[in-house]
Amino acid sequence: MRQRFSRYLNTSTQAAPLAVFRIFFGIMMVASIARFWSMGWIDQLYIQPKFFFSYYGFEWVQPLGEWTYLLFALCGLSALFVALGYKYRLAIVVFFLSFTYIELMDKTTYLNHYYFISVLSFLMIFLPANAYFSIDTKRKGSFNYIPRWTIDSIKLLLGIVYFYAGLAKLNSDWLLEAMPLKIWLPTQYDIPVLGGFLQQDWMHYAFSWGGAFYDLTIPFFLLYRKTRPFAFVAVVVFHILTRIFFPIGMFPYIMIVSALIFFDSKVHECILDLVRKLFKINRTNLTHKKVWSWSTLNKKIILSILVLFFAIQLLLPWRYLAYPGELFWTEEGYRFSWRVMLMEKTGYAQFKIVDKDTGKRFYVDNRDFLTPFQEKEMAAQADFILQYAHYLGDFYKENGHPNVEVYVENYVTLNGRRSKAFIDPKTNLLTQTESFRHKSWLLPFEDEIKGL
Amino acid sequence: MKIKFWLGLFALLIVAACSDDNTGTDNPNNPGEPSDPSGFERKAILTNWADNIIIPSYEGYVSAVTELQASTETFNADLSEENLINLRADMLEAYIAWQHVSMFEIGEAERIQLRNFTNIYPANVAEIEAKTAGAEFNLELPSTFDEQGFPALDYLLFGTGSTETEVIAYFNANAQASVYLQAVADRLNILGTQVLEAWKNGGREDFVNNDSDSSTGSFNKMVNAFIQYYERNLRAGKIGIPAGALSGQPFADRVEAFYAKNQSKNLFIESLQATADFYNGKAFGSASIGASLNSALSDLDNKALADDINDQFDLILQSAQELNENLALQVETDNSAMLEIRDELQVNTILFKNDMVSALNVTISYQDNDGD
Repeated sequence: MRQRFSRYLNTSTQAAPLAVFRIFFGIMMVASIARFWSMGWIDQLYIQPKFFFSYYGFEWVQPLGEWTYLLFALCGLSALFVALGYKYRLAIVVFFLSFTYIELMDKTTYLNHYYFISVLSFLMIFLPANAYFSIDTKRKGSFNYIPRWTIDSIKLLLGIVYFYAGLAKLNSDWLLEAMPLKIWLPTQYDIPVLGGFLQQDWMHYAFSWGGAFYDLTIPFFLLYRKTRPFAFVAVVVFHILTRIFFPIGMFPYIMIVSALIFFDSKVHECILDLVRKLFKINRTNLTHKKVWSWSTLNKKIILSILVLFFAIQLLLPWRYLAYPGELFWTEEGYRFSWRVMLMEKTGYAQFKIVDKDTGKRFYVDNRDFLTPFQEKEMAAQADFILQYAHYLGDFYKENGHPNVEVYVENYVTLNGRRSKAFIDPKTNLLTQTESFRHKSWLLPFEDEIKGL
Repeated sequence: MKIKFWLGLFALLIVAACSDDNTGTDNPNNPGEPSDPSGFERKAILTNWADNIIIPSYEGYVSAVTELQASTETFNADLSEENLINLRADMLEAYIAWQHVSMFEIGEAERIQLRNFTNIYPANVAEIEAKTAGAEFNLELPSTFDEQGFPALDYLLFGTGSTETEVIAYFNANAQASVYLQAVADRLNILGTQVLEAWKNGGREDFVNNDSDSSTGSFNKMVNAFIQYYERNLRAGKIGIPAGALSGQPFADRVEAFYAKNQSKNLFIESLQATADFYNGKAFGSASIGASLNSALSDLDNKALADDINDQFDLILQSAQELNENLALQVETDNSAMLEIRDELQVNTILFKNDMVSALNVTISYQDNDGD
């Protein structure tokens, strides 16, 4: 076993798939940043708000005012360098850091897709994606072969994303109630062709079960040579459908091009030939096999990091088991676990400030402090509510109420269930602090969602 | 084009594939018959709203403020007791009609801030007094929201004296008072007419045809406007703020039509009924019912929620009947009844803002963003 593993680690394979992956990834990221910028979202999401919701432990990561644009520019530029394979190592490190910094600035904008990009770009730091068909090869020479595990590590990450997304769908709301698709699909009746079916019950179940089946099996169908072309068509159809149904931006395209990594190098050489023709690049004639390699020490370090990385990836989604209560209700251990499109959740949160010195109480107009988007995300998530409560406490302490308590009247509806009080209205939220512990001031769900 | 062709092809393939797998979709009540597709369709609802509720309500309102403008002219020409009584009646009638259009703060009404220029109370008495004493005024300034509209008329016609004779004496003593009164009445008519004309000249088509499910679609915008009205203007404005529900400090003088004294309950009930009618898709001035939020919820398999909202409306209306006709008096004598109504109103706020919005897949935010 050990021997087989070390033999596997020494196997090499053609470098073209990773080079193509790098190029597409870079282009997609440049496009994503450009799109984000052109939508005016940098201003709307990171400059206009007065206050930002931080991840626990990352409170120091804040937007940089007008300089935030520079951060996005840096992120876009580094993505371009990644695509070109120019100073690749530096470029991908800068990309990973700048992109992750952007994501950490405000968790209001958290999407599994963004987390995926962060995680993937971290992985790419350690891969020789510039070994072939890159500007860097002019200085460092070109390698037409790379260790096989470098490409496999990307396949593994994609496999984890899909498979875990599939596992997360194995619950009674998704499979037995067709929730939340039953809420989301019927209002899309005006989509051509499909629209007419979207208000039919069986369609919601078909999409729910089909989606779960797709997520659980697609990595395997992509791995197996004979099913691969069909699987790829399924990838295209699946992601295009999600693009039609839901406002999910660039993500479908990113997943579609990422799935190309499963094809062998012939396909990728074709793609590279196309690029060569397009930009009139001469084919560098490598007649013999030239394999990329690290020094023994570097290889050891990189492999150790990746083993740790994948161990975390495999275990992190299960951390919810350590918390009591219903995961979908408390969302303790919900993020960073590829739980995608599982909940239709809406919250209502009205904060009450009690001045202990005068005994007076008053209510907060959330619009004074939050953008509509922030308010929407805040109202259904306990960690947002807690951070906001402390922010309000600090604000009123500085503005003439040195001794205040903060309470919230909060209702949440989940997957079509009737609204229910979510947070104990009698808890002075200022007495609570954020931590990884269970939040005891959440009220019970009083229902059950079976499954994972 | 190519992409669309592909999409169509794949969509068809999927539909075809799925259809074969699903033979068990018969209607459980009528075996053999396929189940009915649900009837939720935004365009039908928008059409009912525009043609049977919004435009007729504005027509009612504009005709009321036109009459109000005329009777103001009559009163100003002859400051008689009879003319004052007529003018007061017309003013209250227009105020009632206003309760049916106030919630439609979208399109032209939103653009010109109709609600702000029509019904911001309590009235700013000091400023109004300054104007009737001869100070210059420009009612188009946002700083004059609380110096015009119905609250200003309420003060001028009911608050400047405790009897008709006293009010007439006030107008006799302040020549500028008539000028200001006329300007306020004229402006109500001008703004109301402007909005109605906008609806009639293209606004209706824009509204009905913009039937996408996006946050900028008419359905989304109207639902947002409706809920915002229900929460801020009905629940908070008419009941919550005077009762001090949020501040813990009652303000009896912040009721609507404070100076007319016996109208605030009427106006509240009218507004409540108007929101319930809108929710149910009931046509203005008739009993006919069309596509609505209520029918949408039923169509989307949420009849229980749809009914609960109506039951709650019934409950609120019932409790509202028990209130004193002067809500200011109610606040002073037994504020607990006001607070109770506020809590009953709050139940529907949450059903609207959380459950209904979630069931209808409407975003309560105007901001666009990706989701996952």
